[in-house]
Amino acid sequence: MLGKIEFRRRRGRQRMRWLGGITNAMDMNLSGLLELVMDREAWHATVHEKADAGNKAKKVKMVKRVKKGKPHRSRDPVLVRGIGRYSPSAMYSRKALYKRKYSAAKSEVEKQKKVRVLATVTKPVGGDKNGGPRVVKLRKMPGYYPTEDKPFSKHVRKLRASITPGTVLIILTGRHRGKRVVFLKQLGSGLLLVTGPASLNQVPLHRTHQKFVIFTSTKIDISGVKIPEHLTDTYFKKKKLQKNTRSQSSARLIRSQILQRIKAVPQLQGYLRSVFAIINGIYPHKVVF
Amino acid sequence: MSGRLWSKAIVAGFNQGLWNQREHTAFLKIEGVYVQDKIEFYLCKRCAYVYKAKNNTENPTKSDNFCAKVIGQRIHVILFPSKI
Repeated sequence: MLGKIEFRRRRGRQRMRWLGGITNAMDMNLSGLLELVMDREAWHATVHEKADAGNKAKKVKMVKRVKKGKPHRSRDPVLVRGIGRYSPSAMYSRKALYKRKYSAAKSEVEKQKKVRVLATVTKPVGGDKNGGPRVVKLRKMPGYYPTEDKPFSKHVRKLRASITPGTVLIILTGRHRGKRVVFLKQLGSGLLLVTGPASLNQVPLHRTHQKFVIFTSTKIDISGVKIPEHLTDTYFKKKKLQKNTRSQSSARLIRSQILQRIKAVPQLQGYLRSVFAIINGIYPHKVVF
Repeated sequence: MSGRLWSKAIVAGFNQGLWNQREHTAFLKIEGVYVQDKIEFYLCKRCAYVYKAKNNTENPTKSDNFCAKVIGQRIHVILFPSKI
């Protein structure tokens, strides 16, 4: 009654129209239906009655089908791919569809109509000034649409082969541009943890990006240096964590360890103090860093 | 912060055929680079046309097309994004 028009047209007869399909299903003429529609409850009752009837028919039919067994092969031999020997009306007779009348479609549609998924839920909210009960959506739109397959936290972080912990880097941007600095390790976000050390060139323990840095071939052996676990991306993002004096002292600890190793190498202190610059006659593409 | 961290270059002109000019690409002659295989170092580097504005503030133009005034002018080829 709602979708497909359930009617088997006998050969030569007129096709069933939409309105005809409805009156046929409801066993009522149009004026009768118009009256019925006015009364909501009566309408509901009739519609659901029809649906139930349809459902029952479907159930009975289902049991029967199981017993029948394998369906017959196609009774319509193929002339050319896509074209059969018999017309649809001929096939109707050959398949004995006059004997097989299913009203499955109707019941399916009715079933779907019955089950309404709740879209919202009303939740009570306590407190005088809180605005009272809220209507909350049960299915919310996703808050995050990744631009690639993986979210940022799952991206693969690359590090150029020339870099190992202890390499001296030249910083190219920011207020410390030109300064030479010691690379400690790569953090989870891909940024590099780096320190001056501050006593040599005023560069504090902070993060830099691989792209904005030149790697030199000078390396310090910091294999024994313990870098505290709390130095992660969140530590550098949140000022609150950095104000904690305990964490400051562990940063100082790194610095003192590194300073020891720097002092062991001749001229390295002076090197880290100095600033990199391009001078006339020096071309960066020719320089071996 | 006292030294230079950019390479010197001059704008040789825009990408053009005989009659048409495409201003989205410009040719730069970089100092010291006169051989094809040396170019690789400078691929991907940012460029800035730097000029003095009122009150002697320096103004670099980075992301847009250069205007025609720039042809023959000095350009800073900045060393980042760095590949080494």
